[in-house]
Amino acid sequence: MIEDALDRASDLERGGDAAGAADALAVAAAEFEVVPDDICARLAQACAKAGRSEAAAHWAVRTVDGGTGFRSWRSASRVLAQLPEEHRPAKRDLRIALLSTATVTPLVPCLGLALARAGIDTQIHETPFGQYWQETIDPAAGLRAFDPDVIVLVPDHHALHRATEVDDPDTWVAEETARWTTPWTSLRSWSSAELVQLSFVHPEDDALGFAAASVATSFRARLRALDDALARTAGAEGVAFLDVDTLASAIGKRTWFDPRYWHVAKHPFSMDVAPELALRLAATVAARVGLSRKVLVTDLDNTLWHGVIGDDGLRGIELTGPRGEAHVDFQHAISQLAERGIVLAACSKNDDKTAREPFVEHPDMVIDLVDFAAFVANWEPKPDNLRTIARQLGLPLDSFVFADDNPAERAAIRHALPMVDVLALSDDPTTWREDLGRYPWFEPGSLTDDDRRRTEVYRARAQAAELAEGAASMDDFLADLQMVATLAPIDELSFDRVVQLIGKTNQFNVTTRRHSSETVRSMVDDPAWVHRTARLEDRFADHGLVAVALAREDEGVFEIDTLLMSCRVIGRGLETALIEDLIAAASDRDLPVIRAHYRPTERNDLVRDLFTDHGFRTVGVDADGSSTFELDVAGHDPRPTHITIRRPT
Amino acid sequence: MSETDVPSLLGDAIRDVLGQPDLVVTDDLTASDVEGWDSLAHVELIYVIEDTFDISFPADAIMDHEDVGALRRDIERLLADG
Repeated sequence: MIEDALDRASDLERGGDAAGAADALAVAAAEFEVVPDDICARLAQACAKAGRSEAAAHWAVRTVDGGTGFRSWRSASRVLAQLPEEHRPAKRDLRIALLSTATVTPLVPCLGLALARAGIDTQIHETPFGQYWQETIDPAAGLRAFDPDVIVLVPDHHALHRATEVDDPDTWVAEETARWTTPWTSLRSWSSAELVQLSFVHPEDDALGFAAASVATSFRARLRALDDALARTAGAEGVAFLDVDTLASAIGKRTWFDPRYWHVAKHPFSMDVAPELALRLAATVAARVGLSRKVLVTDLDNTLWHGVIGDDGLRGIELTGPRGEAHVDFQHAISQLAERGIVLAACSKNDDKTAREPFVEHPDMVIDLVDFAAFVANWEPKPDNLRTIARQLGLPLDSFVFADDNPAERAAIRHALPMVDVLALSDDPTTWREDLGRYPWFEPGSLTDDDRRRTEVYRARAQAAELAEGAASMDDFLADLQMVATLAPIDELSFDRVVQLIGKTNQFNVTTRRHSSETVRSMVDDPAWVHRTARLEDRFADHGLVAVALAREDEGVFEIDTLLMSCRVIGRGLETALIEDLIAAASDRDLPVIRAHYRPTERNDLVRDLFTDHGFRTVGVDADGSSTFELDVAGHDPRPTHITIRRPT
Repeated sequence: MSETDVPSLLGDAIRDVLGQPDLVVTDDLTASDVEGWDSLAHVELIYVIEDTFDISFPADAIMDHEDVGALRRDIERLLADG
């Protein structure tokens, strides 16, 4: 059936009947849960040729999930690049520069496609071969004119002196570390782009054979030490570091590197692996701009344990033996994701009490009830329950990933909620831990303590949401939360978190200005700027640092540049407390007027009326909906909130 | 794979890599006849051909075919040797 449809499609493609080919391919595609990449790419091409742009965009992006064939990715990427603006990815636009000591041209189309999968539209610039050092330093270089948002540095071990041994390996490592980190400093002197440093890929061969690792002077030992030093330095300096050597090992280094293409075209990796590298790189970039997935919703029966708790009972479900242990392994993987900040939710067709039983009673369970920020067990359709979970957590469905052993439930989610990523779990639970590990879009941006505490915070928020439904009035509810906000200037401890929030906050963000860490640093150092962070605690949880305000004194006017808040604390009155704090700051500086702006984006409609709701008057509206507001500081009556304000001295 | 498939699969690969779905591929076509068929595209084409036919060109043959006919004959030779 599939073969017939594909053969028919080939004939129609050759005959120039794109619409017919697209229809035949769609018949084949309907037979798969995950449509293979080659079929996706052919569908994308046929749809584009038949003038079905929206379908072409859909299938081009689906290619990424269907496999990692270079040819498919190459053609899907080309289809996408030629589509009209309105069918291109819409969440973000990024200008990305690739700098390599070798030739990484095959990576360009693959990276564009993989980033489209994350909702990012790109322009990618590859610097000319052999210009790695010049481009980072020379102010006249093409890189600078390109004005990148992200700069990716791709080194290759062929650019190192490959002496078998050196006298003093420590000096060698220190000197090479300095050499390879110098571009970071030069680039940051003129660019506020995010930097992504790739590791070296360590070659299989070494003159000292497989004993080389134990000989400190060997090339292998030094290269490992150099990569470790680069990784550590990158972590400390806010440069993203992608461990490509581990990826190459996982794929296999004999596949990774094809010496023929090195000698003919200076390709440091084979075209076979370009899609896979592009996928990991795209996940890193997406995470840096706040577009990684944040929530894992998992089924329970036959997903977290073998068996059905409602039928088999506590003693009937299996968590030992080969089958049971595979589920335990899967639980470990999920629990580790939760520990590092992925928000966990349960969605099960069960009675609530029955579904909770294994967590409370079964000694072999790994995941605890408190690990779930939301726990929904009922008999409603799962798409409805996912919408409920999204509402409870206050997180959008396009940040959700869904895990369920039941293909019918997966199909229901794919159909009703296409923005949710569905893990295509195999029939064999022993592979699930690895399946989840390979899922790319949970990549963390830069880990902060607040990330690690996220589940706790969202659970508190879901509880607070339930409380709100029961509380007599909103005032009672807010008062009952016993909130305490700590307002403080940006300091060294809060700096990373502030930059992270500026980079990723989409909804409660009045101007969505994505200031780089360098820009924020210069604001902190400039006395004309007032900067505030807000931490919020309530009786359920410490929400951590959740809001940032930046304002500047400019020719007698106090102007709010940035006011943003994590959506997990919307509706608490913290925004009012922050605005009042800024008005007070203007008053302290004897400035008569405070001015604010709203710049509309696809996702910040929430704050369109924020300033008018707080007594500001509208003084200007542009054609694109950008608005300017002012408020006279004199005679302003501060608005009360239910938050106790603390100001550390 | 029958030998008669080679010209048609090779034509598909060339059209696909160059992004020119309507290109007519004949034996006497050369890279300089086609816009965008530069050395970078050629390396990608060779890779796609290797992948399609499950063959491997020696390094010195990768940039060495004077026209599509020469490329086709080389593919057929490698298939016959394989």
